[in-house]
This record gives sequence, structure tokens and C-alpha cells, in this order.
Amino acid sequence: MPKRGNWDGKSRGGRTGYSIFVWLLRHCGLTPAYVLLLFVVPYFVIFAPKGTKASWDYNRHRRGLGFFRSIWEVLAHFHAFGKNIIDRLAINAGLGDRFEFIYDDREKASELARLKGAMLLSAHVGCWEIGGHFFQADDMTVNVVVFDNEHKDVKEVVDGVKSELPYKPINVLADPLQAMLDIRKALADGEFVCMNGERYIDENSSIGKEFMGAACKLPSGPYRIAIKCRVPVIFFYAVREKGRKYRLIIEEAPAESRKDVASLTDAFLASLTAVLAKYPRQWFNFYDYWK
Amino acid sequence: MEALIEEIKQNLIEALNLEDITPADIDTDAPLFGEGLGLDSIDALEIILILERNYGIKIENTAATRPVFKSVRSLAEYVAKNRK
Repeated sequence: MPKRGNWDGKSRGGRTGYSIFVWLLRHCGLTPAYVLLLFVVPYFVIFAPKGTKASWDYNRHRRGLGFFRSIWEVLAHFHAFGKNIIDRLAINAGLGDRFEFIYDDREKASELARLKGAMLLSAHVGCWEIGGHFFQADDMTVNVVVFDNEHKDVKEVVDGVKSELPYKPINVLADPLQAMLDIRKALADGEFVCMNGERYIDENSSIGKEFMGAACKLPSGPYRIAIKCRVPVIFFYAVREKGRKYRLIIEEAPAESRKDVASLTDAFLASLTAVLAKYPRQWFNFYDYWK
Repeated sequence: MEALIEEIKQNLIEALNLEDITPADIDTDAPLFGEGLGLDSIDALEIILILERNYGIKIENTAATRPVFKSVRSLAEYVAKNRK
């Protein structure tokens, strides 16, 4: 029996809240949705104490900010997350042309896109789903391993605005064995398999690490799969910048880091640390990550 | 069949890094997953790779082959019938 991990596979937000934003996006556009968000942020800071505590811990203790600066950063952190949700809904609803998608290194992205069969590892930093729009530009076939525990009512609202997915989902909870076969086949066929490298669900399949000065746990699965299948590993993040811009940051894990899980997780955390140093408000794990 | 069973046990021990376990410690008929050997879904991927790399057997769908992953004996029987 799997021992429950630190994240339950569900994301925050109620059906009504999502529905209001979807309605605004459809009838009024992005700007009114961003304006409404300014009022919603204090509500969540007050009435989502677990999320607020997680954000406080992250800003005050992991980033080491001062007391008053941390209060401001908690508000900014929630605001960045709200924008992320609005942007995702908007892009899924076909408003992708309102955003600019830029590459950190276009040449490197194209070079990595030519790899045949590779693991894409990302994190809840920025909006990893938006990476799909970059990958479409390079005709990459991307399979995303999902943990479909989303609240049913929220899922209905979000799915209701989804245009054609830029990736193929592999639901690991529905049938783990079939998911492994699908992952293996995708990699053997030269496709890409995308997984999140920082959240785990099953405690039995986690690995203890130190990250930002404290102990945390990572899922061992993505790293074990990459090593067992002997495929290249690419770290990627789609981070938001001012002016409705999303930047794709992409890098290949050093070959020597693919020898074992410990080395590969170290390489991933080094990459994640570098990205968070530049985009600290885009760490979107609003639960007790370091426990 | 007994030789193949021993060979598969040895393959599993090596591929899954089952420290301090010998082929004799693995019950041929015990479940591989959950109770028994206690393997997880990613270990299943390793078994899929063993079948592919060592015996030339490719499995793409679990609908018909799920019972194959039940125990070492069911794996050995499947390999004996389908190896290339």
C-alpha cells in the first residue's frame, strides 16, 4: 500500500472561483481577470492558511528574507500564482496569441528537440504546461505523466476551456503498469516523456535531499525511469516575465549525472536552484514542502 | 523450466539491486508486487526491459499480459513461450 506523500495530486481552487475567471476571460479578456486577482489575493492569503504558511516558510526561511519583506513577498507570491492560473486558463481557451513566448537559447532548444527519446524534467516553477507550446514549434511529440487526482468539479471547469492538448497524457494512477509500458514505448519510439521532478505522491518512492538549506523529498520515479531507460534528460522551465512574456529555459543534464539517482537529483536541484534564484516568486508549491 | 526460473531470479536481483537476496530467497510463486517481493511500478519497467533486452520480448499492452507479471513462475512461463 503506498504511503501518502507530501502532495495529494490535487491543486488549490474551487469550482466557483475558476468559473468566474473563465467567464471573465471569455467575455472581457485578460486585463479584467488580472484586476479581479488583486482582490482575490488577500482573500486567499487570509483564508488559505496552509498555503500562506508554506509561502511564509519559503520566503522567510528558505530565501532568508526579513520579516516585513517576507510579508510583501507572500502577497507577491500569491499574486504570481494567480497570474499563472489565469494565464493557463487563457492559453487553454485559445488566447495564446496574447502572450509572447521567448527562448533563453533558441539554438540549444532546437538541438535538444532533435534528440530521439528523452526525458523532460520540470517543476512547479513558472508554468511547465506552457512548455508544450514551445515544443510544438519544434514538432516534438511530448507525453506528460499526470497524477489525475484533481477535484472533479474543478477539473470539469478547466477541461471545459481546454483546446487541443499540446501533449499526450499518461495517467500513472489509473494503471501504473500500463503507464510504464506507455513510457517505455514513447521513449523507444523517439518521443519525449515529461515528468515533474520535485513533487512526490508515494512516500515509499521518494528520495531525501537537501534543497535551499533544508531537508526535502523528491520523487525517485522520474529519475529511476530515465536511468533505467538510458535516455538523455532535459531540465526545462517556462517562467513568466513582465509584459505577458514566457521564457523557456532548457538545459541537458550532464551525461555523468545519469549514472545514478543521487547524481541526477543533484543535477536537477542545482538547475532548479539557479532558476529560483532568478525567478523566486515562481515557486508554486503551496504546501509543507520542507517537512 | 527450473533453469529459466533461476535465471530470471538472478536477472531480477541484478537489475533491481536487491541487496542481500539470493535466488533461493525468492519464492517462485509469490506475488512480485505489493506483498511478496514488494516491487513497485517502476520495478515493473525494469522487468519490461529485462524481457526486451534479454529475451527479445516486447510488451506494449497490459490488457492481455497483466497475469504475466504475477510471479517469477508466470514470467518464466511467458518467456519460455515467447522468447526470440
